[in-house]
Amino acid sequence: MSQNKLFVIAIGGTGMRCLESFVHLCAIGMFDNQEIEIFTLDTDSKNGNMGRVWNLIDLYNRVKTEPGNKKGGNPNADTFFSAKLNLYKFFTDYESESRITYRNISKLSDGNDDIKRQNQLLSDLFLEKESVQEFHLDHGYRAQTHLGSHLMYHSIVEAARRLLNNEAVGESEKNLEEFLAKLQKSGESARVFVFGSVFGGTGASSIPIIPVAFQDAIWIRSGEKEKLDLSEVKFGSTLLTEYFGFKKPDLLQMSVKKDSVIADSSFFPINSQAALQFYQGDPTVQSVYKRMYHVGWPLESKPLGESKLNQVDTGGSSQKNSCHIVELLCACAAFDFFTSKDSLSNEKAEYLFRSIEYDNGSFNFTGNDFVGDENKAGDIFMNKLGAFLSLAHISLSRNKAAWGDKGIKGFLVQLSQNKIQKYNAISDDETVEIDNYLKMFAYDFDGNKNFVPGWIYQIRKSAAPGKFVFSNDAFKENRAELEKIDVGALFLDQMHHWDKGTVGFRSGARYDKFVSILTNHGFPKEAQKVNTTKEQFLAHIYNGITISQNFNL
Amino acid sequence: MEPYTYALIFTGAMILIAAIISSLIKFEGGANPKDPGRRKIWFWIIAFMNGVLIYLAGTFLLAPNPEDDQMIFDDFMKALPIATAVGFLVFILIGFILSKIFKHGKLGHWF
Repeated sequence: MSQNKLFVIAIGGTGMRCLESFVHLCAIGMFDNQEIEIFTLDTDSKNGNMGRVWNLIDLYNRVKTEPGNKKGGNPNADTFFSAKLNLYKFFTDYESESRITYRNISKLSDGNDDIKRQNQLLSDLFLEKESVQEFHLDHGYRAQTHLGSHLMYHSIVEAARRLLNNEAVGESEKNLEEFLAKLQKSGESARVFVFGSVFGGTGASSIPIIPVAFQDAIWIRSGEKEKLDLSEVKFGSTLLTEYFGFKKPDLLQMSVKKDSVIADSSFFPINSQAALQFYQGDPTVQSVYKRMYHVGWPLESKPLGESKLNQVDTGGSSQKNSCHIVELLCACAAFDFFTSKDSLSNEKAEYLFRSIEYDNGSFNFTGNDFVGDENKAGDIFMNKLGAFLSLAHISLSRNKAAWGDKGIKGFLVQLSQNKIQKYNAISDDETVEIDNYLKMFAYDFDGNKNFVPGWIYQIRKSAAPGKFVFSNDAFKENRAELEKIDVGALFLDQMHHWDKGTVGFRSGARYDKFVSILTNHGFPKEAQKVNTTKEQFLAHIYNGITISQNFNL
Repeated sequence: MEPYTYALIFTGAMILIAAIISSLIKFEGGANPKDPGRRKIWFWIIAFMNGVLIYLAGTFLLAPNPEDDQMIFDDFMKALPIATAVGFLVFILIGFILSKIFKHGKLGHWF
């Protein structure tokens, strides 16, 4: 995959959570030697899911940045945080009064009576007058995909016009311009993967129009001189059908005009069906997208976390939903798309899917189920995910970072006490940033000493009671049990438990043996391309755990 | 048995015990682990115990019977303090060497 330039576009709440999984794949080291351009697109500038993934990427980049060196670090290989991530944020502006509804944006009240009448008739032809034209757009398109596609295309093209005319533009438009410039420059080496659902609002509205909207935006911005050749740029996406539900909106909430349309999750299966029919039949989508990955969850859709509100949470900063294993599968679809050796020169979209072992009403996941078994991808994935989970438990559980201690700092102290002092230059603040990332990855305890599940705990929970690569002991939630966790015995398959060494009869033997491996054999190699002290430190831990896990890589 | 030979054999056994104890002390978690200090303390405890035990065992268990040959007994008792000191110093020397050989491991905490 060294020749390809990778781009990721995440759209809407579900797209953001898929991106969250993708970033964690980058953190475990699945995208070696890559610099990835990430574009987040939402209608809701305060959306909690989006804020969470922005924080995650910001933290990722701080972990990769060595003080005084290039922001975001450099791409590495066979180590944690191996990919370099560049984030671009774009959101549609629906906050001011003149842009809060379709009616206001479209200026249906402007002009003389004849123009007003014609505009209104045209709008009424496509959009329900009392609800769809009137609801507030700042919490997304609320499953009104016909309106959403129209407005999302409009917002991107409008931003291109503003850039062309040198109007005062914000960070959002500048980010769009930068991203499009990189996309245009990459030409046929660009692989673009789009995350979003097909059953909701913003993602479902945007997936079909994004390639064409970008093409038109580049054309407009360049003063009609440059064109993005959609036959050269390889677009891929998931067809992610419904996998969660939420409370049915009540009539009281919907009686307010701004909330006159609220997505109703009971319609998600029908939305999904309609979307799949559309993707199957639409010639533009068929010709622009090279691959589409069917991802679905045929079990009962789980509620999207506990809402403290009596009303449906339509968006905003409070909308921070738990992660689900299908989002990880979407991220793995991106991995497949980016690493495929296929030239992707097909003229019509390929549709791909994979099935998972189903037993006793639940799914049993192995590494191969996520990334396949070609070139030992499944083993590589399990090794990297297991290594990162072990590191998380070393920092959070064993070294007590989850309860306010300095986890990675403790690890550095241990290395220093074992006469490996080359990492002593890593500051306390830098170690805390790694701890904080691991908290988002695994778990944390809040100020009231309550357990707060992180990404992998949420993923595991969504797949329960089915199997998920690791044993149940890897996902303890009680402090006393976590402090005693055996960080070298997380896998279901005992073959990948760490060796206990010569004094293996006592607890802690695996960890002691691991430290011995780490301090004697785990030193970074040239092929890992790690230059800064922090990169070398992370590669060193990665090597030590990889040797201990005993995968045949 | 010559007190020097006996002291060296005893010292070897004590070094082995010190190494086993060090290995059995687990690596601790947290930002301020105490396990290296505990290994160091145990090394010095056993170093002193080595000296004391060499002398006591030499005096009460291994010394030849003076009634059999007073001269041999006197020679043994004269050499025993020197053998004890040698045993103590050899313990520290071997400990230092092992600590440098296994500097990245638990024995590395001795020095």
